Amino acid sequence: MDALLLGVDIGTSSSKGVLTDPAGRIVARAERPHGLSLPRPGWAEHDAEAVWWSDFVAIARELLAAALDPVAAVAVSGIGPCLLPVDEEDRPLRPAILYGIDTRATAEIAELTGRYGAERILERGGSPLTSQAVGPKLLWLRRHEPQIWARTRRFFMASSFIVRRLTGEYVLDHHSASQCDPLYAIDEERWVADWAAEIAPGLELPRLCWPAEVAGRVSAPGAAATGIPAGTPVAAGTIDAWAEAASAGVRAPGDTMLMYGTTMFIVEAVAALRPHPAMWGTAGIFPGSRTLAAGMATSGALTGWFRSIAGEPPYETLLAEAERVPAGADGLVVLPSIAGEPPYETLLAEAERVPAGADGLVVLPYFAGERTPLFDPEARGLVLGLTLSHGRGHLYRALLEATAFGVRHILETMAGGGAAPSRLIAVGGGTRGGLWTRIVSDVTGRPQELPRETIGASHGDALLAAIAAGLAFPETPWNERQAIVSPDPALAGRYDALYDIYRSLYPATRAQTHALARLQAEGATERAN
Amino acid sequence: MTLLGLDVGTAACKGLLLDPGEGITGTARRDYPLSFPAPGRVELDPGLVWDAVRDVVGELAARAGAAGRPVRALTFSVSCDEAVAVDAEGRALGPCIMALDTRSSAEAERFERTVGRRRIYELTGLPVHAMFPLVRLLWLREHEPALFRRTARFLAWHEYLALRLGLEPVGDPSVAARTLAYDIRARAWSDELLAAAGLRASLFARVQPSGTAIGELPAAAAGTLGLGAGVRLVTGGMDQSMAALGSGAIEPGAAMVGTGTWQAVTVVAEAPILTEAMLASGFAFGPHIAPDRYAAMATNASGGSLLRWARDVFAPGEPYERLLPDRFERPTDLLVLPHFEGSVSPWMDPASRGAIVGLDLATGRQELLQAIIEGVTFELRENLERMEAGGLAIRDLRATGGGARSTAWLQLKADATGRPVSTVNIGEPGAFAAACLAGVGAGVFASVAEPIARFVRTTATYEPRPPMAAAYGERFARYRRLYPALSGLDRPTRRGRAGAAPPGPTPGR
Repeated sequence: MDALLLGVDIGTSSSKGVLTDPAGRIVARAERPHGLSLPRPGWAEHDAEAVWWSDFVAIARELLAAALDPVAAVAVSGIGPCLLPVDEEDRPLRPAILYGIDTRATAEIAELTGRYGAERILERGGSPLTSQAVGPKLLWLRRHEPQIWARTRRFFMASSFIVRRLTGEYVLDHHSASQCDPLYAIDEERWVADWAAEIAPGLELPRLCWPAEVAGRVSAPGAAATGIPAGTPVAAGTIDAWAEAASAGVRAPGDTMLMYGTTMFIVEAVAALRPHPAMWGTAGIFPGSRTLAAGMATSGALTGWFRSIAGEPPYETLLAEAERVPAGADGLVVLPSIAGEPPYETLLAEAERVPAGADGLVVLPYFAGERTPLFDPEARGLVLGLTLSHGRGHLYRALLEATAFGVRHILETMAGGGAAPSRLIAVGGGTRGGLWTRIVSDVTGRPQELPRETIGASHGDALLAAIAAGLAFPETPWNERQAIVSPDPALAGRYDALYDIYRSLYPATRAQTHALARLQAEGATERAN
Repeated sequence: MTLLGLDVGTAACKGLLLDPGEGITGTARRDYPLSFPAPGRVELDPGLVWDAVRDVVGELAARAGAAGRPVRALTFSVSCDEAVAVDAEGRALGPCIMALDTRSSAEAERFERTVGRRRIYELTGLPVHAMFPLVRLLWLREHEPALFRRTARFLAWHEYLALRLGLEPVGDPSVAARTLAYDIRARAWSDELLAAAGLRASLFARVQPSGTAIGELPAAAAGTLGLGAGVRLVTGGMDQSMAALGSGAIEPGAAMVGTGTWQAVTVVAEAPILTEAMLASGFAFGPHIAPDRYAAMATNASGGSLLRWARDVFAPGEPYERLLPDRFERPTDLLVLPHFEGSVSPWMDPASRGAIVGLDLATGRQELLQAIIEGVTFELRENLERMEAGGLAIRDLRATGGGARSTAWLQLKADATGRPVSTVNIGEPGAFAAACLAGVGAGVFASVAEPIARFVRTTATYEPRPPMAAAYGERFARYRRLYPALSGLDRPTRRGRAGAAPPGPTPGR
């Protein structure tokens, strides 16, 4: 009888779960899409019961129903860090305030940074205060929703909420805690009592443990709700990108995960943490480990944006075209295009036919402001070098190259901070299709490993569960390498030259861009009033 | 009787019948293709132009004749920056080198160094450019010496056509001024410039004021064109000034902005202002069509060409009428530097390229299209403001060309420039002005002002809307800093990068 491990990840727009064997091979998968609530500009929320718990229950039930062997342990990851305030009975008092994409606490970030000092915050917690940080969001809650704050006893994020429901334990993993800036002291690996008392007086802080340690065991109510046998060990879990980094094989200092998603997210294991004002320094997955993380504000989002504005011929044109195309033997007329948004395959094919450098186009990918390394919410996208000869394929290629320039900028920033990435592992939906990953290798001049299993964080959760159950270790191979993407040395000179232009563009146009962002905000305010 | 005006452009010949009492009674058009024999080379076969002229005249002459009002006089409005080499027998020696052809940059630079850019400007009113006929002759002498030796005359289109019609090739000051060999204040060929170039004056045509009758068409020529006896050929002028005239711009301060593939603004002035500031912005001065007047001209290497580009990339196949709304209701939050084909006035940087600034994930297709039109219009405003700062009075603005068919674009011109913009009832102002001049040469009108006053009417005036104008004022202040911000950076190219632009204007491309 072999044991199975259950790993479940609560994501931004869907949850995924896997059952694996103790060697990391996936034997079953399940998925539940869900909505992302954007009640106001800058707000991003989930209903913890309807989304987090309900997804977990559905996925657990589906997977367990098909399981032929017993589940040895469970681990859960999720988006984070989040702020879900609950009352004395652990009832959610409002929808969960999500991670960096929720930017409501800008004023509180400025206030706390002013109060404690940017350098002290960075030194103590490892990260600057950004929209990721939970501390400012707690302060926001106190200020803006005092009645909810008055009843708040504890707080959860997606992983820890599931752990509580399953086991009754109030636990948070060290990595997630290290993103609750400025409440966690990273060198001491504990809560910062004085600042916590000032920012969130009376808030009970969870017990800390490492993501792969046993947080508790499934209780009777937990078993009744999910079908997971009572007594099954439950690991503390962690934030999704770090579970994915574990799945991808980030272990030794210098191992760096590039996550090609809606936004590009990068996690590097480091030996010793040297906090950097433009990156997040956190506790890692394994006891005593540390990571540096960096995120772009967009990446895959640009491809979705372009697809929505890049036209296909209107219906009347297609009808006219249909009249000219001879029907086949079966009487069907096959048209080269369909009305609506062009499929990604079409855009990728057009971009492949365009030479590297898009015949002299450079794009700044700051279409949602930028995070690392600029931390400028008023940064904006830019296209330079346009001529009448540039077509749709050129623009799409230039957008992909822009994300690659952004990755190169981040890797150089990490190296500049004394933590040079040595091994790049590429994961995420954007690594399918090939062109995007090849461009990143060509632009950075670095090879990238592609692991075989690409489902993401839930596979890493299964590793955490296996370690918690004593069936695996951090060194256990969990996700073998499928391929390596190598850079084309012939393109190095061209991309180096274009990268220099890329770096010069933001400072040169910052004044105009900020002015435009302000005009945009003023216009939006006027229209709202 | 009927007057016939012909507009000979770079892509088509358009003709117009004008009844002195009743107005425009017919139009016709024939297209001809440019040829692109090699990268940077753009040519046009004069034979194709002749065929088109013959067919247009034939069609309109028949119509006029059938109505019992035969054509009595004809005049040409011509594309002005090119010339046809003819031999001693009056035969064209090869294709005409067109304005977009880039072959003679070296000769332009050399000539500019020899005489000095300020001196050339003070005499000719032109910033040196590779396209002007004097420079083309220098190129021919250097690169095609055999052809150059056989060249008896180097003629503008209306001079060439006069010759083909069996008359003396006589030109007019507005076209002569575009050769780079003509003194616009003296209104005579410049001995100084001809000597510096080593060219003889006899290469160029005799010049008479616009509206002068050259002579009657010989019977053979008249017959070929389908015309009767006694038809007078009357001198015309260069297309931009002719179009300005035909849209009613005759008094100092009157201005026309033509938005076609490119955009150009023409302002009528009492005298040329040939200062360093005007030269640095690339503003050309030349004799206007109306006597005792000058025309100041600024060209943007962008206009409808950019809207077509945006349509082809983002909304292929979509008809223009569906692309744009009736009016834009608020400015975009983007800035577009419309230098997709480099820039002419005012930045004079052919290596500059297009840019879009301020993009975010919420930017939609409509916003992009609007922003491109805003960029083109901000370039216009930059030119207008520099002209005024240089001492040129601009009283009113009338809009012509394809861009004047969109109410959204017309209103945006008013909102983004802060000036009222009018449209007129003349669809083909160049050919119309030519027909008016034909009437002057035929003795039907005392001056060209007469038919202009009689027939040209304002059809609409677009006033700037105060909240839009204020918002555009803020954005324009940002826009004019964009080229300076970008021009100091290296430029992306096919193989990597090119150095930043050198300071000052560069002749040719």
